[in-house]
Amino acid sequence: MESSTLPETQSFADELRRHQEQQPENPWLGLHPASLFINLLPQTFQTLRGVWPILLVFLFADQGSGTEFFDLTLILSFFALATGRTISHFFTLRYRIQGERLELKHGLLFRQSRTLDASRIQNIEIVQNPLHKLFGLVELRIETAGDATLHGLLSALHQEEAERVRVSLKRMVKPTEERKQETEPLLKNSVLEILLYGITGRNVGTVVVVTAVGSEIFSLMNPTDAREVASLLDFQLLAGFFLLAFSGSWLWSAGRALFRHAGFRLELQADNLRTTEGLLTRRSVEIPQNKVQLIEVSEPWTRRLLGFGTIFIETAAFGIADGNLRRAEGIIPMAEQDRFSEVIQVAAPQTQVDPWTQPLLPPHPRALYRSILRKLMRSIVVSSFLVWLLLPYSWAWGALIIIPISLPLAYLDWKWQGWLITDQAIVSRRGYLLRQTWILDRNKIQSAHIYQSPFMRWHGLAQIVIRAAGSDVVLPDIGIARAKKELENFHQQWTTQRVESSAPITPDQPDTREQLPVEALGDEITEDEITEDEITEDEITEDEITEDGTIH
Amino acid sequence: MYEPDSRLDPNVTFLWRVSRTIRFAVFGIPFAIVLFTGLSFFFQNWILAVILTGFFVSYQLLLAWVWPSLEYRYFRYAIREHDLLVQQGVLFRRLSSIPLHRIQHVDTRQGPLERLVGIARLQLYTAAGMNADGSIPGLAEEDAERLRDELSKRGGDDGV
Repeated sequence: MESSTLPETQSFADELRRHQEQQPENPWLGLHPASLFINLLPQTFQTLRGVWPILLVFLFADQGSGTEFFDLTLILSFFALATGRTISHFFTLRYRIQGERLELKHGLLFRQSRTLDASRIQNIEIVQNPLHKLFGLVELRIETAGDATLHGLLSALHQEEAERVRVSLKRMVKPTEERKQETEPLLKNSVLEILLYGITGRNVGTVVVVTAVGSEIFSLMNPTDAREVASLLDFQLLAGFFLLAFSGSWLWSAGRALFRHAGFRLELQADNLRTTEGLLTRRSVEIPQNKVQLIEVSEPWTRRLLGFGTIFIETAAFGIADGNLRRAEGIIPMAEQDRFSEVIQVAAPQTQVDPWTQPLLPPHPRALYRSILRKLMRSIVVSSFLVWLLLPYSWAWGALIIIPISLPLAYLDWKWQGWLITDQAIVSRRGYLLRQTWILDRNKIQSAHIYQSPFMRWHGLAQIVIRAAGSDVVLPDIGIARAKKELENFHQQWTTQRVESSAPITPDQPDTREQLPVEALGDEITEDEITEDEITEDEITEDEITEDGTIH
Repeated sequence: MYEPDSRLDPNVTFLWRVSRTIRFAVFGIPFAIVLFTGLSFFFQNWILAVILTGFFVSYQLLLAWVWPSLEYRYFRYAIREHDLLVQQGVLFRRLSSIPLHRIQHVDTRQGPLERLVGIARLQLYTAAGMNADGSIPGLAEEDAERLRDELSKRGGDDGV
C-alpha cells in the first residue's frame, strides 16, 4: 500500500518509481565470511531452542547402560546441525536493494525470499556483540509492521556496508539531502542511573519464583526432614530469607540492566530518533519520527521517588516476532521527570500534547467504586493465598492486613487516573504504585471500542479502548454518555482523515473536501458538565433495544 | 447519537442452539462426568458433587438454549459513511467503531453447520493485531457477500 502522499506529489512519486525500475538489476550481496565464526554460537542456541524438549526427554529419561554413547551422538548431531545451518546460511543468504525495496533470499532446502518495502520500515537496528567487534562487523535488523521482520538474517556485515544499506533505505522514504552531522545527544544515562534502573524494576516476580522453587524443594523432601526444617524456620529466619531473595534479585536486575543499557544515548538525527546502548553487545536503533505511534511513560513509585521514569517508544512493529514478544523499539531507561515534556516533543512532535503541563480530565467519580472493587478482589486473593501458605505460623493471619491497605491505594489509583482526547493525540494515565501515561498519535488509530461490564452498566460507567497497530490504549472509566460522544467525534475525524489520505475517491461517493469541525474536547467541558451528563443517561441503549417488539 | 439498526439473520439463534448443544454433548457431558467423579473424590461427599456438577450442567444448558436469543437481541451493526459500528454483548456490552479506510481485508467464514443453515460470519481485519478486529457472526450468505464487497471497496489505508 502506498504511504499517504498529497495529490500534487503523486506524479513525482510515480516518476521516481518508473525511473528506478528502469535501472539495471543490482548485484546480489552476501555476508562477510567471518559470519561462519560469529554465527556459530547463536545458531547453536537457535537449534537448541527448537529441539530442547526432545533433548530433555532423552537426556533425563531413565535408561539402561550404553546410553552414554547414544547421548554423545545426540549432542554431536545437534552441534553438527548447528554448524551446518551456519555454513548454509553464509552460503545462501543474498540481499540487495532494488527499486524501492530491500530483497533478501536465504535457505538451502527451503528457499525463502523476502521483500521489504522501504516505506513500511518501522525501525532499523544495528547490533554489535564482542565477536562482531573483533572483525569490525555488525548485524542489521529491520522491523516492519507485520511479518517481514529481519532478525538474525543479516548477521555479519561490514559496518560501512550496514550504514550504506541503512542510509539508502532511509533515503528512499525521504528523498532529501542528508548530511551526517555529529549531533549532541539529547539524553544520556550514567552508570549510576542504569544501576538504579535495574534496582527499581519489578522484583516481586523474582521473589515469587524463588519462593515457589523453595516450596517445590520442600515438597520433594521426605516428610520427617521437611518437618524438621520447618520447625527450624521461625519468623526471623523467614524474614532473613526474603531479604536475601530481594537483595539477590536486586543484584541480578542491576547487573542485567548494566549489560543491556550501559552507555545509553538518545539522539535526533534528521527526523530519526536514534538510541545506542549496551555493554558487551552494542545496539543502535533508529526510528523515524513519523513512525512513532505510541509513547508510554512508566513511573514505578521507586523510580518516581528518585525523580525518574522510563519511556517506551513504540512503532507499529510492536508485537510477536520469531516467537519473542517485542516490548518496544526504543526504551529510555531513565529519563528525568522535568525532561519528560522535552522527550515527548522530540519523539512524537505530531501529538502536540504534554500530559505534564496540560491538565488531564478526571475519570468519572463512580469509577472509584470499580477501582476499589478490583483492588479488594485482588488483595483478598493474594492475602488468602499467603495465609494458606504460611498457615503453620501463628502470625500467618497478619497477612490479611493487605486487604485494608488496598483501600487507600485504590483511592490513590483513581485519583491519578486521567485522560485527554485532542485533535492529534489520545492520552491516558493511571496508577499510583506503578504510574503509566500513554500518548497515542491519533492518526494511528485503527479502531475504537467502548466496553461495559455489568458492574459498569449498573453505575453508568464505560471504558474506551483504542486499538492501534501494535498495542491498545485503555482510557479510565468515564460516563457512558461522554464515551459515546467521544466515539462520535472519532467518526467525524475519520471523515476528514479520509479526505487527506491517498485513497482514490470513487464517483459514487461525494467529494467532501470541506473540513468538518472537530472540536478539541479537552478544552470545553468542565467538571460540572461531566457529572451532569452521567446522571441523565446511563446504559448503552438498553431502553432502545427493549422497545423492539418480537424476539425471534 | 446514531443507533445502529441492522440485525443479524434470525436463523442464527437456531444455529447457535444446535451447535452449542452438539458441543455440550461431545465435550460437556464427558467433562461433567469427570468433574463429578473428581469432586466426589475430593469432597468425599457425593451430594456436594452432584450439586456442583448440577451447577455446571445447568450453566452450560443456559448458555446453549437461553442465551442465543439474548445475543441475537443485543447485536446490532450499521455501515455508516466512514465507519462500521457494531454493538454486541448481553452482560458485557461492547460498542465498536471501525473506520472503513482502516480495513485491510474482509473475510467470510462458514463452518459446516453454518453452511447448512445458510449463514456466514464476516471478519474484518485492520492493522491492529493478527486476529480479526471486528466480526459479525451471523449474516445470511448474500448479505455477508454484499457487505464484504462494500467494505473492501473502501478500505486499504492503514496509516502505518
